[in-house]
Amino acid sequence: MIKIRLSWQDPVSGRQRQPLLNLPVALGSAFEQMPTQINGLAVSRMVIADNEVSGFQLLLIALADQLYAIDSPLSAGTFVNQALVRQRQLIRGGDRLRLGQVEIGLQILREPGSKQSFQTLIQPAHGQVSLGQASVGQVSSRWAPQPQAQVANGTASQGAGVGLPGKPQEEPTVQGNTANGNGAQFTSPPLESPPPVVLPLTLAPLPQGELLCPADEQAAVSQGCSRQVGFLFMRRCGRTTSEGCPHCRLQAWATAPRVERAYYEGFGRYQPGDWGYELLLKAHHQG
Amino acid sequence: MPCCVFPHWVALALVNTLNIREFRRTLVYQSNAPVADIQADLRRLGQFHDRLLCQYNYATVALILCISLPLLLLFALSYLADLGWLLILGFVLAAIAAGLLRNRARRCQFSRDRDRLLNQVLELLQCDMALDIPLAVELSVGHAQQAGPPVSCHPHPILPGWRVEQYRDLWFSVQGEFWDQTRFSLKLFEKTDVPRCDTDSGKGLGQGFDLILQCQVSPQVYGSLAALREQWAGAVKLPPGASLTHCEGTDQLVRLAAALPPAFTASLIYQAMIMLLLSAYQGLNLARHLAQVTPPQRSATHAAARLTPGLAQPSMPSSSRYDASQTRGGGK
Repeated sequence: MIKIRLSWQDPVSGRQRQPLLNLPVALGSAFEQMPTQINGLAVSRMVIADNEVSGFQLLLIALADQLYAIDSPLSAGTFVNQALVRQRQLIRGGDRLRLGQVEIGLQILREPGSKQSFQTLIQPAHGQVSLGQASVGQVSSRWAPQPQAQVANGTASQGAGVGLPGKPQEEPTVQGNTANGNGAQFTSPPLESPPPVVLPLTLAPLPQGELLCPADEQAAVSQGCSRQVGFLFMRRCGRTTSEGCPHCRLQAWATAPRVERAYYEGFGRYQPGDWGYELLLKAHHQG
Repeated sequence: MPCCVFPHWVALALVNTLNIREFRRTLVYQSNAPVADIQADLRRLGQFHDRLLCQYNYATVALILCISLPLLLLFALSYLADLGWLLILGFVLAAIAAGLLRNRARRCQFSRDRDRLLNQVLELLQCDMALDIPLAVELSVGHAQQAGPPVSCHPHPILPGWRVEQYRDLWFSVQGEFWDQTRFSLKLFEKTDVPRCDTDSGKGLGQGFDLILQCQVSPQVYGSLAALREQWAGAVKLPPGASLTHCEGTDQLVRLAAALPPAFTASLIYQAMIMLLLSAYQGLNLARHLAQVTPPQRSATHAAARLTPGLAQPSMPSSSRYDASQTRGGGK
C-alpha cells in the first residue's frame, strides 16, 4: 500500500508537522465536518489550523491509480503549485498544495515489496460509485461523481460499463498499465495478475456563468453557504441566498480581500519572530 | 383591492437619504444607514459632482460668447441701428447670468478623492459587517474651513508677534459594528497650519493627516484584552512615512492613532487605514487565541460567565444570528 506524507508548518504554533497518512485524506479546519469514510475506505482526516481554510476543503484520493486533489466548491480556493484547483486535479509527489495561508508539501511513500500502486475506489455492487452525500456532509451536489466508464489505453468499450445500473456486471478488458501518461510517479509496472477493476469518477462540470456562492443549491439551502468569508476575520458565510452578498457580487472573493491583507505582512501568523508569539507561548505554558 | 408591493431592490432605490440642497450648502454628507444605502448616496454624489462640472463648463463657454459677441456687434452698429443696442444689452445680461451660474458651480465643486476613498473603505468593511447593520458616516468634501477652535497654537518661528494655529478638518468618519460585535470608529482628519497675528492671517499650509481608529470589543468573543495592554504598539504596522502617535488599550477597548505626512496620496491613505485595521485585528485575533488557551478560571470572560448566566466559551457569534440578518427585507 502506498502512503503519503504531508508536511506543513502549523500557522498557530509554528511547529513543523509531517504526518504519514493512508489514502484517502481529507483536509479542512473542522474535524467533525470531514467524512469518516468514503465508499468503505477509512478517511484520514487532518485539521489545518488556519482561519481561511473551510471546514472540509480538500480530498486527496486515488482514482485509476493516480492521485487526485478534489477541491470543495464551497472552499476559499486551493492551489496546487500556485494554480487554482478547479474541481479536481492530478497531483504528484513533490507538488505543493496551498490551503488558505498554509503551504503543504506532498511526498509519496511506497512500502517495500508493494506491487500495487494505490488503493483505489473499487466500485461497489450495482455499480453505484459514490463518494456518498451523507458521508461527505455539507458538500454540495457538485461533489457527486457521475459514473462513467473510462477507456484505459482505448481498449475498453463504453457499453461494457462496469457497474452501470441495470446492466449485467462485466469486467472491461484492460490491457497493460492503466496508469500511463501524466501520472508518471504513480505508474506501476505491468501487473502479472489481472488488474483490478477501476472505475474513475467524473465530476459534474460547473455550469457556465454560475455564481460561486452555492446558495441556490439544495445542500446550501438548509445549512447556508459554508464558504469562509471575511477580511479582518474569517467566518462561515452562512447565507441562504446570494442576494446582496458582497462576495458573490464581486465574483473575485477568493483573491480580492487578500490583496489588501498583504499590506500587513504576516497577518494572522504568530510564529517565532512574529509579534505575539511570546504571549501565545506563555499562555500555552500556563494553560 | 390591488396591492402595490415593490421588490426589495426597487424600494431601496427609492429611498433617498441624500439631500442635495443641504449638501450643496454645507458640502457635508451625514448618514446613518446600511452600507448599500450609503454607497448609493455616494454614487449620487458622484453624479452631482459631474453635473456641477458640466454646468461650470457650459457657463464658462456661455460667458466667453456673451462677452465676445457684443464686442463684434459694436462694429456692426451702423447696420443694426437700435436693434444692435438691444442685442448688446441682451448679451450683457446673459453674460451676468452665466457668470453667476459659473460662480455658483465653482463654489460647490469638490475633489472626489474623499468620497472615492470612503467608498473604497466601505467596500472592504462590509466584508465583515452584516448587511442590515447601520453605519454612521460623516463626509466633508469642502475646503479646510478653520472655523472651529484650533487644536494647538504656538508662536511663529520667524515672524515676531505672529502665532501658528493648527486646525483639524474632518475628511470622513465611519462608525459601526462588525459581525463579531466589535464597535469601531475610524476617522480621518487633515491638519492645516495657519499663521495669524491680531490683525491679519496667512495662508493655510497642509501638515498631513491624522488617522484615528477605536475598537470596542465584545468580551464574549475576545475575552479580556488586559494581557495586550502594553503590547499593542508592537502589533502596529504602517506604511513608510506614517507614524504611530497614540496607542491605548484597556480591557475592552483599543485606540490607535497615526500621523500621515502631507505627501500621502489617496491610495497611500487607504493603505494606511487598512494597515491600521489589520494591526488592530492582529492583536484581537491573538486575544481570541489567548482566551481559548487560558484556563477558564483565569479568564475574565469566564469570570464574567460565572456571574452572568449565558456567557459561554469565547467564540465567534453563532451563525444563526447571521442567517437571520443577512437577507435584507426579511429574506424575501
